[in-house]
Amino acid sequence: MTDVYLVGIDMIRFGRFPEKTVPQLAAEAALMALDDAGLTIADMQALYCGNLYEANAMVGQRMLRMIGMTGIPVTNVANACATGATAFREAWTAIRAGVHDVVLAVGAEQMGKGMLSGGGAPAAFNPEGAIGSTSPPSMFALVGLEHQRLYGTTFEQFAKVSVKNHHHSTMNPKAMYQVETPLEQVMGAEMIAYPNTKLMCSVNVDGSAAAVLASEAAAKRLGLMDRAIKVRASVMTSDPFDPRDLAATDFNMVTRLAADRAYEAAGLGPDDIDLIELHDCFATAELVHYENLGLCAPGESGRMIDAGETTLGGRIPVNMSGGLLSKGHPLGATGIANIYEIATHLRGQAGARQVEGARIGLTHVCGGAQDMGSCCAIHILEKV
Amino acid sequence: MKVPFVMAVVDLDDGATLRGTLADIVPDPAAIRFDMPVRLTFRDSGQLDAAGQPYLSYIFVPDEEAA
Repeated sequence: MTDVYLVGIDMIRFGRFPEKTVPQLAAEAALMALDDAGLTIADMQALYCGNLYEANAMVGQRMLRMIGMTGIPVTNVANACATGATAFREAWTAIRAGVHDVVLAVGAEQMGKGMLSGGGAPAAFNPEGAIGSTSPPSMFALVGLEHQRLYGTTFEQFAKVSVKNHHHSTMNPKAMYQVETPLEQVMGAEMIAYPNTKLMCSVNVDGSAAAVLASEAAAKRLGLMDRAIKVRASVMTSDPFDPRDLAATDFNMVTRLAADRAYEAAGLGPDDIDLIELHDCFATAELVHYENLGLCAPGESGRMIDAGETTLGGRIPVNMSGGLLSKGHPLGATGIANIYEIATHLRGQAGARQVEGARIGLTHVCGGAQDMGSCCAIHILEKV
Repeated sequence: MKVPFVMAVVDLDDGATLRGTLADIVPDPAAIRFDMPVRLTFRDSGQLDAAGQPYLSYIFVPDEEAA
């Protein structure tokens, strides 16, 4: 099977664009990624288009109406917070399998402000509040509190994640926000679901990102090897059975399973990774994922954030983009936008936030819904 | 729905795990302990169906005796 290379990638600045349609957002990022590769839509042999909230409305085809109806196969993808990463992985799979050798992957989302509702149809009886909660903040409150129960991790340690990621985003012109949020401000913000305050919840924004993938032969044929980034691993998992899954959706096992498989596929370990973009949908999630990704031993993530090991200049910088907490989290775009961030560092083009000498990076997304299931996707990327 | 409310994940004595709302407790992290004993009861949820009948729901309350 051929190796797969990332040869073009870009994202729009995340923000709020109510005047645009989802296909318009998708088209903007697609054209930017094609420009980055020096290719056109006519060079693309297939399109994988990730979007969640218009999953039944042919976003990929509507995008092609704007940038070129070339008759290629379009697959519209929806997979919770892993939607964009799933589109990227489907493109990778198609090339790996030898079906196509130059493929476009796009992720786009338009979000309202405020809290996301859970999936599914409303019942006559509304269980929200009466039987706990199925809301995303409640899911990730549980994630944090279980860590606190096991290891004594503190509200302050979780809050430090938000301070760090907001700090990183002050150096990212494509982030929704570029403002410092001191610890007192984070901890004093409105409590959403303990221990996550409003500043410890990801920002709902509109956004899009796109990537062009190619086989090794195609990258050479098109003269793109000098800018190519090798996809060392592309792994996706769904939640393995756990007796507690019916009460509290699993985000830990699903990530550990994906991490094990990704490191094995890449022939690498956590110590070989220079920087990481992981799924900080809530501040509590970031700390548990340090452990799930093997960056430290179980129970050590609180110490890691205290020691600044994941800040720019630290042992393993995490979420240099500002993460979902400050860059923003347009669901369908997130899993390609985090690959953009890693690629930008591997190319040495990240400006003030550049991780010096970055050669190998890892992206992680993990999503799910209470009583439904979860998904995780991990990509390991290397500048060749 | 009234906020704040307290959500609890409860390991039952028989082995299953159930998510629910914990009532009769101050909704303050300082007042709630991990692994505190609770018991399950049924109460009027405050919601009505189309015919005006109340929905009953299970709810957790602190178990004073076990504590």
